[in-house]
Amino acid sequence: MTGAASSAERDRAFKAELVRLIPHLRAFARTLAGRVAEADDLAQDAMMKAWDARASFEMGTNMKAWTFMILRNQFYSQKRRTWRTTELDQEAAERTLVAIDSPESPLALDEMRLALAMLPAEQREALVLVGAGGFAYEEAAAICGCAVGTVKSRVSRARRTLQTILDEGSYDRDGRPAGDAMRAILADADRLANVR
Amino acid sequence: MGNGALTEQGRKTSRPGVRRRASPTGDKSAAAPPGSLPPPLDDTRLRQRAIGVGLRRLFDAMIEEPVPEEFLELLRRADRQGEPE
Repeated sequence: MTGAASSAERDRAFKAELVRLIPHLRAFARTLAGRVAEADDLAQDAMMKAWDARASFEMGTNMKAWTFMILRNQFYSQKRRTWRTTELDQEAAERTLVAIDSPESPLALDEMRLALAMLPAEQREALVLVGAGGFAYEEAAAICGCAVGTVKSRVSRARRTLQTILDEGSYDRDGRPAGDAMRAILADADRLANVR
Repeated sequence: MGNGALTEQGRKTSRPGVRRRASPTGDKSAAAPPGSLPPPLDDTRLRQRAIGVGLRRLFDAMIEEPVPEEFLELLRRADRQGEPE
């Protein structure tokens, strides 16, 4: 096989894997960025950066972690350029996780989304990577550029905070008591645990 | 190998002291009524588990959304640019 043919084949394999990861990149982008459009811009930027840097990727290693790292770096790079360096405030938190545009989305998901948006950014990303993204603590630490212990601590604090928010209903919306949130999530989790 | 519910020795992997929470959807052994004593400590673990499931559901729901065509078009264009003349 010639070098060119080998390179083309490698590109094809890389592209196929990258396409498979697009939904994951979009989901992670939404946990970091603002509205759907902003999150998709971020995911597209990360996807293209990954494509441009494909020669440096070692096939067979964890492309998901690699692309998540690119996306995260892209997000914070843009944030440094365009955002005022202030703490994530409530308004920003509300923007952070956009609604899932599905009328079938159960109540519990919406409550979870709102509660998650209230977490500090570093706790949220750690929790999302480990708790939903399927990454090991070590991989999440590599993605976030911090120590494994730091990730563990952030995840632990995020879980506690999330539980408090959901238990106490520290937020409210549409006049609905948010104290219903934990009950809804427990009901949903119970149902799912029996299905899966 | 088993399905994860049992160890190789056939022991249950559930931790001692963690009791199964009653279904909040009307099961006969339902949880304590509103306004009663605070939940026992074991509930913390169960609540954390519920949060974990909820979090994964939220993320999965986002993943399951259809990918906008512009993502694929961007990649196609970039791929074509790299093709030899």
